[in-house]
Amino acid sequence: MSEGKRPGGLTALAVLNFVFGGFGVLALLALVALMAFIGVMADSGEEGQEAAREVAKAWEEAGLGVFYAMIAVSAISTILQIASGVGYLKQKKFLGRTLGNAYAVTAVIGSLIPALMLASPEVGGGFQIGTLVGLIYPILTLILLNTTFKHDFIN
Amino acid sequence: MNRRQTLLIAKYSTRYSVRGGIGLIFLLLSLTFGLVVAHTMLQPVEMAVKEITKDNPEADKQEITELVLDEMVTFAKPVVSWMVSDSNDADDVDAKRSADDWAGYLLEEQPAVLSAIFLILLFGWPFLIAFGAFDIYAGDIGSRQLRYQLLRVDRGSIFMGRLLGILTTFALVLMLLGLTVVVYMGAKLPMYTWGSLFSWAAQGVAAILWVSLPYVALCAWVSASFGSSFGSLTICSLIIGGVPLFATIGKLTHDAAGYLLYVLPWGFQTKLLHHDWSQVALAGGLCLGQAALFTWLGYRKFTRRDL
Repeated sequence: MSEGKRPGGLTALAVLNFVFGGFGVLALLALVALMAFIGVMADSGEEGQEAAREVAKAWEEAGLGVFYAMIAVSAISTILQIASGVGYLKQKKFLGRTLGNAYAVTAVIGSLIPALMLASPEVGGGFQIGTLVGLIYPILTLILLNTTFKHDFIN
Repeated sequence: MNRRQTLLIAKYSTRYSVRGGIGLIFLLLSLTFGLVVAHTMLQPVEMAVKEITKDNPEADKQEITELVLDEMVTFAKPVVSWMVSDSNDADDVDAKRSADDWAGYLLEEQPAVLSAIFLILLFGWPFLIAFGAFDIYAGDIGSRQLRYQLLRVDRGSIFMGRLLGILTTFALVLMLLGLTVVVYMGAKLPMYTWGSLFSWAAQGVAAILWVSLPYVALCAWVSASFGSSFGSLTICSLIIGGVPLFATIGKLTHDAAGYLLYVLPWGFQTKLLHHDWSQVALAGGLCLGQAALFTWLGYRKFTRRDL
């Protein structure tokens, strides 16, 4: 390894962090919008919205604590993801490797919260193969930061 | 060509493919694609089972899952039969019977959901190969970095070593994907035995890996011919995607244009999942023949060009 020269894989990882981080921000906004949706549904007396009602009911059964926990973990994970992306580009030990690992662990927890704490698939509950899709990137990040790119954080 | 050097280059090529970035993107793309396909196939089964269980809470969940799968197989069999059929002629009774037998083997004798996943993966995988194998040589040819390796190792060893390295990477990614899908299916769909799942998955993964050989060899040839990664990616994608596109469009006016599919394994690759072993052997042999041809062309180009 040449000192100071950033490997292409680390640059790719940084770009992916920014892209997925952007999607994370959008997902977070969608989750907050869902909160308002639950309130509207609770007050609504209209018929013919059975599927939407089921979603609202499933959230009510799961409890608001889970919902707030999901929002908090998603927000922390997204912030860490974008910050560590900057760290990868600058090859910073704390901003890159430490925050990158922190992001990966937080994202794994964030993926497992709905899988383990929500029973209804309407709100993303239960362990599905979709959960595995969500786990791919954080687990890859965790593996790569601690093996392949372990010695590339030199600043 | 030196065997020891070839194996050493293959080992380092596999190990450092992720470091270069392209291996990382390929790994992410292939795992995501494979799991999304599996998700698309499994989700309707899980949703239907959930709906029925909600209406009949006393019913046995395994029985319901079996019933749902039976219904889906009945519904999907004509579609799969049409997909794997060699003939478009509705009056060709022999071809129709043969396709029905094959569809029956895929959906009734083997785990149906896994067969459906493999059929889709066989179709989509060649497109992913271009993203994993386009830069075997092109980037280093463009940046003239291969000259430093040429001081210590011959061109043949570099060519074959990198080719072997990328194939090893593909094999590892495919095995990881197959294992993930099988473990998930085994846990969620208990009517399939672990033995049947693993044996069919092993055959499916081997089929996809085997079909990768000519496509990777083609990418190696293109990559050895161009001094630009982007150019190589564009040409590889155009050839791999263009062959079925031109064959389909050309067939509308001339039936003979359909044979264009046989320039690459598109025309026979699904036969690697056939119930008749002679068909599997024939398709496997054709894949090997094409891989040998493209490898020879790539080797010839790489060993003669200005590096």
